[in-house]
Amino acid sequence: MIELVNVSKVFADTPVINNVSLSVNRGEIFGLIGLSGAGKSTLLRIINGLETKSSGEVNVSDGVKFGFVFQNFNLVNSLTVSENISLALLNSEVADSEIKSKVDKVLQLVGLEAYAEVKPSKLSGGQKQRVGIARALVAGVDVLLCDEATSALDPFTAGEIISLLDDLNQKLGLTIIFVSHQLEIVRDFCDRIAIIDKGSICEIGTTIDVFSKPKSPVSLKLLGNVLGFDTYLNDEQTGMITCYSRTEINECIKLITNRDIELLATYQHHTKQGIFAHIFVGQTQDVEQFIVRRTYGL
Amino acid sequence: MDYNQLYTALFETIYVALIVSTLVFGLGIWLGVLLFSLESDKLLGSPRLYKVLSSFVNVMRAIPFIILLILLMPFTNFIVGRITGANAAIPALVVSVAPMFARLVENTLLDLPPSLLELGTVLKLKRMQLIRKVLLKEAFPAILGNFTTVVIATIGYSAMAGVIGAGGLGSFAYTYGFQRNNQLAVLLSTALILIIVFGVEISMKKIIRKIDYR
Repeated sequence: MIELVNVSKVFADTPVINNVSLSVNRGEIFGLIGLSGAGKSTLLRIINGLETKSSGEVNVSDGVKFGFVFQNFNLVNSLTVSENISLALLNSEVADSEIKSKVDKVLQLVGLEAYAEVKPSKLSGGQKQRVGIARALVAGVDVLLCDEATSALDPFTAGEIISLLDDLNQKLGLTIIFVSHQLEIVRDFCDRIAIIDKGSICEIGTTIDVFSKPKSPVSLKLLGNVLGFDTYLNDEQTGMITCYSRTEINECIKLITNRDIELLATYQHHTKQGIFAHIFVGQTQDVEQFIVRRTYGL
Repeated sequence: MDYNQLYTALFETIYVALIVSTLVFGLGIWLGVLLFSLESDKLLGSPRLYKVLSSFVNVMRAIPFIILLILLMPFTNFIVGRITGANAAIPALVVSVAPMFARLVENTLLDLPPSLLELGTVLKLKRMQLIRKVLLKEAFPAILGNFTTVVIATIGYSAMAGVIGAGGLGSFAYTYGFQRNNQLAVLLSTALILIIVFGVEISMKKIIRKIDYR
C-alpha cells in the first residue's frame, strides 16, 4: 500500500534520513520508533508530502487518502469543534448539505457528539486529540499518520486514545502509521515496528520479534527502559540478554526459552497484577547466572 | 472662545479618526498578511519581495509624521484637491499609520504556532482559505488589541496635523489656545481628546473580551 524505497533527506547539508526502505500493508498498524531527533517524524512527513525528500521513492497505491494527527492537536482555537472538523472538507467533493452529517458521524466515532459547538479551550487534552482524530478521518481517509499522537497526554489518557485508534483500525480497516518514542504504548498497539536511529532503520519486524530479540544498541536502550529495567544488555558471545533492575519489591523473574509470543503475554500478565516482571530470554544456566548477578548486585 | 468652532473641531477629529482607522484597518491587515505570506515558504515564500516590501514599510515608519505630512503635500493635493482641511490630513495619516499596523499584524501572525501553517497543507486548504479561515481568525483578538493602539496613535497624529491646517482639536488648541493665549481652549481640547481616547480604549476592550476565545 505504501512503499518507501531508499528515501533520503538532507537538511542544510546534514543528512536526516538515510536510505530508508520500508513498506506498510493495508490495515496494518505500523510503528516508527526512535529517540528524539532520530528522524521518525520527518519520515512520516515525507510520506504525506509535508516534507520533501532529497532522493528515493515514495510509492502509494492509487486513491489512497491520508489523514494526519498532530502531537499538539493543532486545533484552531477560535473555531468550534465541528468547525474545526469541517475545515478538512472545505476543498473536498462533499456537498455543503452533507457536511453536517459527516461531521456528526465522526464526532460519534470519537465519542464527542455532545461537544460539537464547544471551543477547544474548554476541552481536555484527550478530548482535543479526539477532535484531531475526527478531523483527520472526516474526509474518508485510508491511512492515518499519527505524529507522537499520545506524547502530550498522561498515560491514562494516552491509553484511551490508543484504544480509540485500535477500534478505528478494526471498524474501518484503517491503516495506521504511528510515530512514537513511547515503547510501552507501541508494544500493545503496533503490528510491526521499525526502530529508527540517526535517520536509518536499525531494526524492523513484528513487534513481538523486535521486543523479544532486540539487536541494535538503540532498541536495547529503548526496550530496557520500557520493560522497567535500568540496564538491558545483549551479550553477543552467548547470545544472552541480561536485565538488571534496582527495584526490589514484588519482583518476578520469568524464564522464556522459547522466544515467541509468550514473552509479551507473560510480561503483560505479571504487570497487570502489579508484579514487577523481568523477562529473560536465554537458557536455564543463564537465569541462574542472572540471579547470582542480581543477588550480589553485580 | 467660539463654542461652535469647538464642536466643529471635535467633529473633524472624530471624522478623521473614523475614516483613517477604517482605511488603515483594511489596508494594514492585508499589507501585514502580504508581509507574512512573502516571508513564509508555506504561503507565497518570496524572500526578495519580502525585503523590498519590508524596507518600504520601515521607511514609512521611520519618517516623522510631521515631515511625512509636508512631503506628501503634492500627493495630497492630487488626491483630495487641496492641502488644508480635515480631508487633507487623511492621505498622510493613512500612509503613516497603515505600515505601523501592517507590521503589528505581521508580528501577530508570526506569533501563531507554526504548526497552523502545516495544517493548511494537511487539510489541503487553499492559501486564501488558510489565511482567512485559520490564521486571521486565530490572530483576530490580538490584531484588534494592536488596532486599538493604532487608533489612539491616529488620534494623536491627527491633532498634530491640525497644527498645519488640517482642522480638528489640534488645530483648535493651536489657534485658540496658543495663538490667542486662551488656556480654557487648551484644556477643553485636551479633555475632549482624552474622552475620545478613553472611549476607544474601553469599547475596544469590550469587543475583544467578547470575541476572545483564549
